[in-house]
Amino acid sequence: MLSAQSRVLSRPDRARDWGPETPHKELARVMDRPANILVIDDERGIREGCRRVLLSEGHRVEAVQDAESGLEMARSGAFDLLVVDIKMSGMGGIDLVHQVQQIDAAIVCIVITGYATFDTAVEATKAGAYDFLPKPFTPDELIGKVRKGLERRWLVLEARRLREERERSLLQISAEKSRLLTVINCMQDAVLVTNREGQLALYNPAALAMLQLSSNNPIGQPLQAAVPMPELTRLVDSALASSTSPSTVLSQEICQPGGERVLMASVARVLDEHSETIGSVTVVRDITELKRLDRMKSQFVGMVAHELRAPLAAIQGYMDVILSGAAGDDQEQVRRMLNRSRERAGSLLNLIDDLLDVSSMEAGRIARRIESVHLPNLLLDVAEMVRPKAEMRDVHCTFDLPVGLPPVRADREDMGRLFTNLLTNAIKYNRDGGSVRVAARMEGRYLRVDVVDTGLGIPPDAIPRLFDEFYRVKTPETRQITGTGLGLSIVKRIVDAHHGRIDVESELGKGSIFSVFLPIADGAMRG
Amino acid sequence: MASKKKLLLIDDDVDFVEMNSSVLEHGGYQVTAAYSGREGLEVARAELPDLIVLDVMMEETTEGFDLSREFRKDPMLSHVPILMLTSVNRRFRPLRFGPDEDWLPVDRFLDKPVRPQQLLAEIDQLLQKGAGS
Repeated sequence: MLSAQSRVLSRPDRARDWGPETPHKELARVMDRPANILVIDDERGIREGCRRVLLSEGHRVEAVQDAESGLEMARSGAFDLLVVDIKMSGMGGIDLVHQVQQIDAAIVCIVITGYATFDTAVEATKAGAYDFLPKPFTPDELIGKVRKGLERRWLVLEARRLREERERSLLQISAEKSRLLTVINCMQDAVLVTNREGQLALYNPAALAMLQLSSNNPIGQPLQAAVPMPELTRLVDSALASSTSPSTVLSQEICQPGGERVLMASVARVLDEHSETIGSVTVVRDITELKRLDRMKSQFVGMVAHELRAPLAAIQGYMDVILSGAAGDDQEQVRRMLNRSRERAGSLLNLIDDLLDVSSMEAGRIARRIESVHLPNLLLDVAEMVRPKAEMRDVHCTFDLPVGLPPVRADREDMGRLFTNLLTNAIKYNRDGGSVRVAARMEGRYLRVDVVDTGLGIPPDAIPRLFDEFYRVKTPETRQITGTGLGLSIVKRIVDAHHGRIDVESELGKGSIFSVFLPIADGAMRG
Repeated sequence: MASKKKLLLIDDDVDFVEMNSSVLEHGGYQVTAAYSGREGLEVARAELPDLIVLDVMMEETTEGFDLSREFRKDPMLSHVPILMLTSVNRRFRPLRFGPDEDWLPVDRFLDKPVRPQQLLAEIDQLLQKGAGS
């Protein structure tokens, strides 16, 4: 039986710090939830009495009679609040409270004392006890103290939860920030961020090199001091001063001072929630390569235009001469002019075919079908196709194609194009009555095909440019030979696309050897 | 009767040399041909022609320009009228150009192909101008 008599100990009421009531319903609901309570008392009457009272309050209650088993149970972390008798045999209540607080300071301990003295109070408080319950006490006193203790418990847990949540979101923010920084640092484009005053706030490694940033910490410097590019800083200034919509991006092409790089800078204002300018972001891309490709394309178009125009102008010129009779009416001469016109028209058609080949090769590899190709058969087919040209010049073709050569991995059409070009050249640039020899053999992992002619030969200074588009060797002997200037550039493209190689050996007046090396098909290697 | 005027055709396109020389020979001129800038300079110095018909774009894009400046520097050739022909379409010309005393010191500039009558007339006019001065 619990006594109604009680004496209140003078002690700091820590629960008051949190306020006795909370206006928040949410919090009130949390405060009233049932708790897990452990009663530890070697006096059975008090133990059972406390248990009954607290059970009737809706809590889950366990009760044990000694501190050691109490500590063991508290260690599991399953209890919100402990009601501990201060005086027990074996481990005392103060000791238990101390150890429990070591495990988890959020577990609330209420100490039952038989002899409420100031010293005991100080000792228990030092150990971490939350409140006292002097014997004898009433059920209401117990309920009141436990309720206060639980409020404390819930508040501590809530605070802990909020703190953990905050730490988690801080971690998230910092992870987000580090992710963003990583993205910015990995960019090939230069990034510059300034504040409203145009002082540099952030830059990435790409900016350092591309914009020649001053190396001693440029952060905080005015942009014109940090970046030695007046055009760029002017662009940023005008963006900062503008009042256009935030989505407006100012873009300008800028030449790197002292360098050959061409840069494209894009600047946008950064606005705060009141639409006030708080800074600028600049992204700079190196477009030198694009510009170069663009120029190459224009050059190519110009060359093509010239190459298309020249034969047509020649044909038209001949027509004008014939029609006007300005060269007289020698039938032999007229006939010669008509023949030349026909030849130029033919070369124009060839040029168009070659241009289509080039463009299909540029368009991508979609059309290329790699398969095992048996070159000797293909070479004989090509030779058959160019035979009329050979016969016209009385050029004799011989073949040295050993039996059992492995196939190559190649596109059959490309191979046809490659060797048609080489054989046609060997015939065109041959002497009348000359010969062409086609020989194939293994050389390492490659199949080597030599196309040997007994023709004009190539001047040494022409060899480096031989595979350039529209390059044609110009000697008195080649003057009458029509060609597109694209044949060997196509040959080179095909060989490169097949991971092969082409070598040229030539002696003026004796002839040339074009050697093509093509990787043989996997599994076709012997030994 | 005065001896035939000597013309030098410099063009790397064999067909233009062929058609123009047949027209000019039929028109009463003595025609020599050269197929490159270097050859053109050699022949010009050897033959001292009365007029040079020069193609603008040979192996090197600027070969015709360079050659015209070479002629102007040569005291033996500096007075010889130059008629420059081009097969580059106007739209693809990098610069708008016409005869210019320093940069392009030629007397006349025509697009290929030039009709035979026009070619004869232009040459005739250039030769008369040269004779008159």
